[in-house]
Amino acid sequence: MTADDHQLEKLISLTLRSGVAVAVALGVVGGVMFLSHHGTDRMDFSTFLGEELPYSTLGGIAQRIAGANEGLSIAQIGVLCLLMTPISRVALSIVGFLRERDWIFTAISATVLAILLFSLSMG
Amino acid sequence: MPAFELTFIVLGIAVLAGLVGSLTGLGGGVIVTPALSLFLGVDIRYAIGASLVSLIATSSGAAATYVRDGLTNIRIGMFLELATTVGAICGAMLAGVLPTSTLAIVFGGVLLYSAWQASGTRRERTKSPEPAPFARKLKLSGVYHSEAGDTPYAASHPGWGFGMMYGAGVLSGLLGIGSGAFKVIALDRVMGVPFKVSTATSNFMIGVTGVASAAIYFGRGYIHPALAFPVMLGVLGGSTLGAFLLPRLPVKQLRRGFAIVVAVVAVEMIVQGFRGRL
Repeated sequence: MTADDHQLEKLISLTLRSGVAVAVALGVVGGVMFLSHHGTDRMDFSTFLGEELPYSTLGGIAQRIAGANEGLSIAQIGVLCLLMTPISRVALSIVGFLRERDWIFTAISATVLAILLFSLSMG
Repeated sequence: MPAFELTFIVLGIAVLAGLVGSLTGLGGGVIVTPALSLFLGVDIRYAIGASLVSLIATSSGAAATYVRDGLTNIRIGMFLELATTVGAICGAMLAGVLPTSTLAIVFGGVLLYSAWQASGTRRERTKSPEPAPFARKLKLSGVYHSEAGDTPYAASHPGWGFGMMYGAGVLSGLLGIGSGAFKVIALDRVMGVPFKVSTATSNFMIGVTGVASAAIYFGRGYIHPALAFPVMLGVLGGSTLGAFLLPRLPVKQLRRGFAIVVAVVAVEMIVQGFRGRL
């Protein structure tokens, strides 16, 4: 393993940790807000509502935040940050491999990123 | 159930999942989904969504440490992620058309296998097999630093490993699990990568594999924030606690005992699946 690889490892480790930290912070803030306003609301998850709820799209989440004091939307943004963490890890690897002039692995990382973006576009 | 109560029960389940996950090597996903669906009566699709969140959280948390310690082989991981991500997307598509009872039955089967796998003992390989020319070209190699000294290794059978990883990806996308057990087998037994490097690299890959299907599930509304936030927080807390307790507990016995519990849960899921209750 080269010195460049070690630098890349450090950067990746930092990305992963900060992504998780942001997600946790938003989850705590959103969760506390949700419980303080809706703590006594009845929740039922035995029926699947899927896309009828606004939490599956960015627009839906944004509307909720703008509309009411909606902690769940903030928590959901935290979840989205969590999902973005591995994606940014892959994006970072592309830069790392480019700097090492490792064209094969630049291409492999770029392909993995393309697959993830394709999956995002389907969701 | 009132939101307050539900949040704390889910948080508790997630802490337990994170704890058990880091102590036994079984991923948090194999606990979150059955606990939510069997005990709390949550629709299995919401349970799978929450489980995906839990495994992305633990993978990112654990991978950060492993990568920092130089155990993870980023090249091998990235190469195999080509297979796991495509598999995960296929699995997520498949999950959309299969009835939930079938998902429960397949889940039970995978759970049984993982329990059997986790209860077994590990042996360290002393000599790694001859690396394939293809693997040499991609530099799928590294050095494993241990107390016994530095052992260089190189991946063999990259084709077989790649194929198995595709399968692990399909299972991961279909059931919302990390399929770490299958990833470790592919790396350790098939590709001849040292066991600790295999575990670290598998953990590293689980996050990216999970995201490939989670992105699809997110759009379908499988990920409900009221379940996702306590799961995310709980599983991270639990795995941190587990890492702290790991050197202080009789892990071998724990692993055995836990494997039995998982096997019982697995049978229950299969039975409920056949009865069409999940």
